[in-house]
Amino acid sequence: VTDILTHVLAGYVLGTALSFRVRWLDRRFVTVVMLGATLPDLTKISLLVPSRTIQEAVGLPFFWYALHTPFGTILTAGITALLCGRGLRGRIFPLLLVGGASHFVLDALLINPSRFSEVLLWPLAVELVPLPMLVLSSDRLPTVVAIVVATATWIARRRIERPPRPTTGSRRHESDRR
Amino acid sequence: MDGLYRGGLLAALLVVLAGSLVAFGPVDHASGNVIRDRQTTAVVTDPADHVGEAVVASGAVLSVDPVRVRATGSGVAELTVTGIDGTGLTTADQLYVFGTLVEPDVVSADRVHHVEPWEQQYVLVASLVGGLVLAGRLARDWRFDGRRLAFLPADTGEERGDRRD
Repeated sequence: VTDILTHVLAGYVLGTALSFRVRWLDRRFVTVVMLGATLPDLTKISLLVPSRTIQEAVGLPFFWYALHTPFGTILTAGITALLCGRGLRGRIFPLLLVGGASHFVLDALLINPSRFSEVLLWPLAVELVPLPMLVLSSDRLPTVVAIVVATATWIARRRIERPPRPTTGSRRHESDRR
Repeated sequence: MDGLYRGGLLAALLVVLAGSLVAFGPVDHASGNVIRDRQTTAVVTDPADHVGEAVVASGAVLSVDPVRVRATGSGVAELTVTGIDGTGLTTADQLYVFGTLVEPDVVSADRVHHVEPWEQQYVLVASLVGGLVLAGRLARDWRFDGRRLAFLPADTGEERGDRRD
């Protein structure tokens, strides 16, 4: 699992890039994409309550890692969207999925993907998907790249929202601003 | 009407989610100390059948001269790693070995990566920072409406045209 900071920043970059094209997608919905990028890591609940503990308590097989599958993410995104107000859910659900997709793309680059490759298509199929195995979860480079790209995105957004004051001509009308 | 529809859908999704957590129970729980097929990353459960094949092993370093790692998830208590110099390794490290299984308990390494304890701490700290950044944004951008029992966007002033970041 890539560190959560990298996932959050990737969600910020994706969400902000979308906001350049989608007028209603303001910073609050960028935050939704960032949240979506962390949804698969809900599996980290296992650090507090291990799967084995629940397995022994209920007497059934149990594994939190189902949350770290695309199917699990669709479910948690749906539940999260339903916790939001009426009229928002149709926007929030796809934004959570966009963030969640970025999570799987980043995790697919990991050297030690663990059982990740087995579960991409679960429960439709339990197939092993060969992965490139490029980086360790403890590598700092992805985080550094994410910080640089997120900073560049933040600057770009501010410039788009606050264009330099024209030296000549009339002031832009308020409605022209995004 | 929305309440009924919403509650029903929420309950249905929670049931499916709970069912998924149970249905996923039999899937391999191993996260380290295993030998995996390099192509598919499937856990090798019988190393003798995989001699001569490309593997990737991940395990805690048990000794550095010779280099041995734990691979108990594949039934190997001590997996000897040949072709690498143990200089710079410590028994607190986690080692990832890309190589060929030459014996059931010996892997010839093409390349290795090791993770030191401070790097494992780094992942935790970076994750904590990421969690705090996200929590801060959620607290600022969203609010819970107790009357509607729903999260709603906070008024950030963007509707008035003064977007800020």
